[in-house]
Amino acid sequence: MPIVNLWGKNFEIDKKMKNIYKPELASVTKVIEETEDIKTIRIKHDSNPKPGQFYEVSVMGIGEAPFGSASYSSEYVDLTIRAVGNLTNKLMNVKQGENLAVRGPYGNGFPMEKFKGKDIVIIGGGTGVAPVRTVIEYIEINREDYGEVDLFFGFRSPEEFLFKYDFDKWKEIFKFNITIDKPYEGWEGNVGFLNALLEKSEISPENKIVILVGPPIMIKVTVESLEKMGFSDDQIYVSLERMMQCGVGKCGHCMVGDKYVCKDGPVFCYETVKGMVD
Amino acid sequence: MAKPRVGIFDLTSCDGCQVEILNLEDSLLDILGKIDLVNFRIGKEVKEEGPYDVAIVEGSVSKTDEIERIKKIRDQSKILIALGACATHGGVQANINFMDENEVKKAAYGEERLTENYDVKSKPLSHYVDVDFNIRGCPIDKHDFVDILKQLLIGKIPKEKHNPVCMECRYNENVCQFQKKGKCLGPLTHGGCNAVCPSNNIACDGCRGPLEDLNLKAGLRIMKENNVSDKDILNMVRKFTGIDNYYEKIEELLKNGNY
Amino acid sequence: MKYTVSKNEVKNFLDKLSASGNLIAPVRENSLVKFKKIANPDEIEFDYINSKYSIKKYFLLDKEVLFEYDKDSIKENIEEKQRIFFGIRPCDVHSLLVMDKLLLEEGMEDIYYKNKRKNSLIFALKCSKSGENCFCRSLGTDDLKEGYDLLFYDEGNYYIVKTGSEKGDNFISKLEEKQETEDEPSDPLENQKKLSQDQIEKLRESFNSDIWKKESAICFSCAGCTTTCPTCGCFDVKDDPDLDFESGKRIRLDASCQLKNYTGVAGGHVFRDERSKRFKHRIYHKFKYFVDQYGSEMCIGCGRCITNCPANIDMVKILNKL
Repeated sequence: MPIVNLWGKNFEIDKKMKNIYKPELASVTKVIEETEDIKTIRIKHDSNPKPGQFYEVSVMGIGEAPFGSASYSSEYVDLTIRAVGNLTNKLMNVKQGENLAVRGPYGNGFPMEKFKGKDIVIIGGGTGVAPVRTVIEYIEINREDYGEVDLFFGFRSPEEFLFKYDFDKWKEIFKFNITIDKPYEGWEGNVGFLNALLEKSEISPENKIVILVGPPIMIKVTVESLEKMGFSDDQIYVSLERMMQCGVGKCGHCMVGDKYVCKDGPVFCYETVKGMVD
Repeated sequence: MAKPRVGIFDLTSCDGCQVEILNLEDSLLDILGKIDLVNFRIGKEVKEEGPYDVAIVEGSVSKTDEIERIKKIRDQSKILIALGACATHGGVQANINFMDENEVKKAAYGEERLTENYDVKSKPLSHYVDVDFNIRGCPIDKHDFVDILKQLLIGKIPKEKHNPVCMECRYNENVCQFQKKGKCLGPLTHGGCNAVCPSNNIACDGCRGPLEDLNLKAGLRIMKENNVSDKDILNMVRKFTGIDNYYEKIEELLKNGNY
Repeated sequence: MKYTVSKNEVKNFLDKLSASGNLIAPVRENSLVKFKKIANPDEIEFDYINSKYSIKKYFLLDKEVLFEYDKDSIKENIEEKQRIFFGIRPCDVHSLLVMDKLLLEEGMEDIYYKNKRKNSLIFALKCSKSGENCFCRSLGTDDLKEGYDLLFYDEGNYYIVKTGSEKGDNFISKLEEKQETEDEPSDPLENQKKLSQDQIEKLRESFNSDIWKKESAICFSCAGCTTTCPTCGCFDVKDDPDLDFESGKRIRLDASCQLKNYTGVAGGHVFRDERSKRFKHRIYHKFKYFVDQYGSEMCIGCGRCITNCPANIDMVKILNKL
């Protein structure tokens, strides 16, 4: 009784089955120097991310890290990256014409469908402006679906501005507010933290959704200000950061309570975030 | 790009960890193709002065002139790596720290050769200078050496996985030494060795040094519950670590029954 | 379908399977029961409670190469090796069903796991004795409704064998001495350890209890519990470049939520820096978070985290204290 006959039909793995851990090469079509240590790398990619989704970008030999998409396009993805560590330092050397190993998009993204008919307040601090740019570009394309749009950007100084080349366009379409942390020679605009500027604007919470991305401390104080202004937590949507490795809810690192930040997030309603305790 | 200048140095030690480097038959030539090895006493005749991009130092600081030497190496080097248990934790010779100094000197050097030069305790490099990275173990695992060099060469800051020996002991499907009524320093000790001793039925003797995220009291409690005597615990701990106040702290916890 | 099969016939059956080189079954090595590839069928151990370490390592490796890369390509190397597991206990089959929920989620399948899983036949063997730390009865993981190709019940002089798949039917059809039966197998299993659903439910109100700090005081985060848990599958991903720095491998390594740097981010912040938070996370993941995510407990009641804890921390005792 030969065993081969016993086994019956063999299982075969579909060779074309997607390997969720394997990146694909994507060509770099443009590199924009945003600031001294921040670059926007544009890759050719037809994955068409939802606003707020992210990609895992590899530098072979160093590893992989998640970066939020900074664009809303069916042809390319902009990845805005600050040189802060091993991987990002290497990414600063990437040139047009080279390939990047990328997988994604991952995560839930902002529920833009749900926000239809609402006024949108978009708040971004520092590199947090990158992921909200996807929301802005999405609204540009679907302008009639949304009401008034207020943009609030905060940067350390004018030298740190991201997407300066978009500012004029945005000023035309939206209410554009920007502030820098400390006085800067030649700067005549707002000085001070974002939340102060926000409070000064006296925006009413009625029919509004707030999209808020930035460092944890900025999120904390801004939410406090929003609450003071009468916003409730279910009007506020934030994008969270955690230790992430696989990006697809398998490796376990980003788990907080019963949520995987990579899979169930990174966008969460602030009401949910309050219940997410380690 | 110029190849990085690397020097391998030794203080008080058995040179075993450097021999492990020479034992890297498979990859040694490939490594030498990537670095400019300018100083390696046991492997190379020519020695060049600093500066060095990377200095790798075996051995503990246990003589007065070695304090000057390690400080000089540190000054001349961008990156300093401690190689092996002597360099990371003082090594076996750190036992002299707990013995009568004169007895030690007499035993080691004889009555007539006592000089000021030996009047020091055995300390890890980090007692005197900043150490950037550790390659742990007595002896080191030569693959750790290759791994850390590869990471530095590719431009990545090496990161250690801080787990106790126990975790790797489980991968090897061993029976816990404590469940065999034995004694073991695994719970207190930094892993990375693939639990080579417990896997060969030898208790861990802590050569990779105490764990960063240590729960000392819990570790002592297990040993006491398994009827390991205070004296045995202290002897085990003392075998490999000359870290300031580590032994003393354990001694105190045991004395007060505080575990 | 159910059959009665003589012990002798089962032995012949295993003889043939072991000749194929695909058989993995329990053997006893220095008093320790382990699952191993069987070359000689006489090695197979039948008198055991469960293997000290689970069969997890056959499905999720401690260290696994995800792919190899060079300058202009990325190649994954997926082995297709057929294996037959004999003697897996029902609780451990449940552990595979739990892992399936996580790793075979539609559209997000882990192909490394899937490949190993799909190329494995499961011939499970029901327990007749309970270990001191078993609590499978409380979680309903002491028997199987699915997840097996064949399920053997030891009835003393013979086995009752249930078939659970087409492949199982195929195997059984080759047996000569067998008889279809309507008899239900006997079920003498009795656990000493018990854990009620009411008690598990209490976790929902116990998140801020000081019990976690108290109970974790004797834990030294050795990760013995997570490494031996058959449903703990967390991993780290790491690149291992070759010395030419143009090629290399991306590997995944077993990780543990009990270690401090598990939630550490660039810049040094650690989200679960306190030992008690890590201690609590494991228990909550097994009994609450997974239930909320996938509708069933992640714990399968094998008791290995208790058996393998050098500090003798007993999760069930703690849950029963809530």
